[in-house]
Amino acid sequence: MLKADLFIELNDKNEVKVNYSKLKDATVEDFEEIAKKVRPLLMPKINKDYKLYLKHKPELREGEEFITYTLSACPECNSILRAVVFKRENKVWIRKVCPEHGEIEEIYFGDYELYERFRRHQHDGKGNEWTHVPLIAPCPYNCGLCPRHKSHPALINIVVTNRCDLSCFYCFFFASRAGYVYEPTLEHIRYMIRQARRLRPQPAIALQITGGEPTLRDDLVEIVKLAKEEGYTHVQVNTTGIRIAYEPELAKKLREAGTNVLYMSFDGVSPYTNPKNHWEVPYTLDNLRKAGLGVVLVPTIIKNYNLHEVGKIIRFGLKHNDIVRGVNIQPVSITGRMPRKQRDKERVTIPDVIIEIEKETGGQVSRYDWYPVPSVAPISRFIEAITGKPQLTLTTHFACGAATYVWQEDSELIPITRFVDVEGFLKYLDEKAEELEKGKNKYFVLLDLLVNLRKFVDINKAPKRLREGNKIVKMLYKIFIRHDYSSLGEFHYNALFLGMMHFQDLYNHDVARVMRCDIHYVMPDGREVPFCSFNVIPDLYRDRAQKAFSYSIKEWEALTGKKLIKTKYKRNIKKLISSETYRKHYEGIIDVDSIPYEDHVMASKKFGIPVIEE
Amino acid sequence: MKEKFFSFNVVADDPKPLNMEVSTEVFLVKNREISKPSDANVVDFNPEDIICFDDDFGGTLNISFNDLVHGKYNIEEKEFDTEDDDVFIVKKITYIDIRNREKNTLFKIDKLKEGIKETVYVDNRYFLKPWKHRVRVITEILDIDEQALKDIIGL
Repeated sequence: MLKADLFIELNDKNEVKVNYSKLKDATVEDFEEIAKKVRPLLMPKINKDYKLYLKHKPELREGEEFITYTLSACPECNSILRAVVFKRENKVWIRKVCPEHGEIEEIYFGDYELYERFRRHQHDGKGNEWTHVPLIAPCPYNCGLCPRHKSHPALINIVVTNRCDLSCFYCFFFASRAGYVYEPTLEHIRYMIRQARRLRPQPAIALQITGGEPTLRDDLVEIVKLAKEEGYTHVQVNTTGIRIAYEPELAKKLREAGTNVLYMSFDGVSPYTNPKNHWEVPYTLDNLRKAGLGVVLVPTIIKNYNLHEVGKIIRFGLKHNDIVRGVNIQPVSITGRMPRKQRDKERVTIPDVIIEIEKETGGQVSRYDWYPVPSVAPISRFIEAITGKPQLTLTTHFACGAATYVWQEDSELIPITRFVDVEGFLKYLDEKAEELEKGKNKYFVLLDLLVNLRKFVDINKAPKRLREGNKIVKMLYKIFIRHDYSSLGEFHYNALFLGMMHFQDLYNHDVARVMRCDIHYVMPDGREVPFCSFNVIPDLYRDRAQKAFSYSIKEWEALTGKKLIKTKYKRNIKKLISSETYRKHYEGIIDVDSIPYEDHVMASKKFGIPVIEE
Repeated sequence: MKEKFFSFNVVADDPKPLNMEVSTEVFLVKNREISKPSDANVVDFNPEDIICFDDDFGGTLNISFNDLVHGKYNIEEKEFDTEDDDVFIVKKITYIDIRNREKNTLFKIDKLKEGIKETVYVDNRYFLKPWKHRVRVITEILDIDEQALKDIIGL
């Protein structure tokens, strides 16, 4: 084993740097030793990285109704502040006052009724029996996970590169702008994902490989295999899909290696709203079809930019439901500092998007069809009580995410709530779980479930494909009575999952949400950090840790023999829009003939992707 | 070395209903001798104390200061002096969850050695081992016999 100290340096600013170019052949154990030494040096420090200003309680004004107090952070100096959450004009707001930077007020949830309805479904987790870091700082400056964290991970993210073939105008994360290359070795990746599996009693089982653009790594397929070897049952790759549009073989290899699904950016159906990958998506979908690899579309929604297209995005997902498994909408998280007026133009919250979907679908998918993420906790509680084994339980804060399922029959959209009494069924499972926890015989409970299951399903209102042969009841029977989860796959393949996940920023930041987060990043020093600390306070988490374990651009180019700049993507729009593949994918969604070629070119260039014509 | 411990009650509705009463008793174990700190004084709860507060209740009850901020609460903080070498600080945390009438006692043990504090044992409300197992582990850590522990801290 190598001597960890020899590879760790502190510069004159007291910043930690690992001599990464010397660690090409380092083993998992070597990385573990280095990570242990580096971790305490990278942790945020009180009075240096943040301060505690807890004495001041923000007050309410006329016309405002108190909901709760919480803790939050200042967008300017990261200091921890008290914040008040309140109702005004049927919306929910958060306000805090930093003694150094003044008052900050932000919309928290765009509809008070939905806030109340979602709040009723809050279920908290049991935390973790073993965590990676000791409790030595207040939340959110102790992330790693610390013993006060309330949820176990549902999804672990691992950044495998900060290289990207795009240069989106809003992004500061990618290598050429950051000034260094972060690209962990395979053994280092193995250490990190192993570290994320150490949590007890419920280790992580789902992994998202992300970047940068992970498909730029030639060994991506190896990384997927490695994740499977380490026990992850669900592996997804977060990508723009551009490389897959050109390389059908990559889709096949990823599928064969065990990739379960692609998680693909898709911000709109037109070139104006989706200049990132509008032209490539049809080819990516075709190649995924050939490989049998499903995809989840991931639109980031901004009020004045693409909110008006959210209904069409769902229609696009349904049109390609043979390969599109879901649409996971992310209301924008405002990174960096932005004045209030500009924020007001961009900010949308979960209820705003839900209400827009209701409007754009003519009420077919209504606001009442959505349930917050923790509402499904009774399902896990019931299965845990029946089997006696810890189960993956989604216990995020109710304001973090929401979901529903829809089916399409001709032009009609049928959400799950039309034929399943979701509310009643969840309540029933919660009651049965409680009976089991109090010692009731499980066979009596299962018999009760067998008798009552049908009461929660109105078979006549179900989509035809679930009505035939009483399929939906049989599926529920298999899942809840026989614990045969193979039918879950069948359920998913027939439906389009609609999800929503609103990641925070420092304007609407709420510590109560951070400590319930179940989407985590594993960092190069082995800490496991909630999404909304990793990306929302990047200078103290993401950037600090990745920079410490990075190559200089010069080192990386010498090591690989590649030039960073050469990986930048140039788009041949003329070629991409001329084929039938492009046309047929958008048919019925947009009129592709109505968009002048010049508009295509301008949209791409404005976004930062050059256009070529040869 | 100054050490702190806390008792509190809280009633909150957001994001989830919470209604708890929690009290802490402290015992010191040095050279197999069990004692109570004689000079524990009530002091004001300061913002900096949230770290100690969270350290005591984050890993045991899954409760932190932010949960209290969400509702109405009272915290009583006590402080005492202790030697800073080879001392075990045993915190006996008794809680009543008024919502489901659950009542239980948890232990958290820190060891002070050369001025450095290290947590050597924590009971977690949700992952609680059987009583016998806990007593056995605690007595092993403290190097005392079971009866001494039971007699003095009222098990």
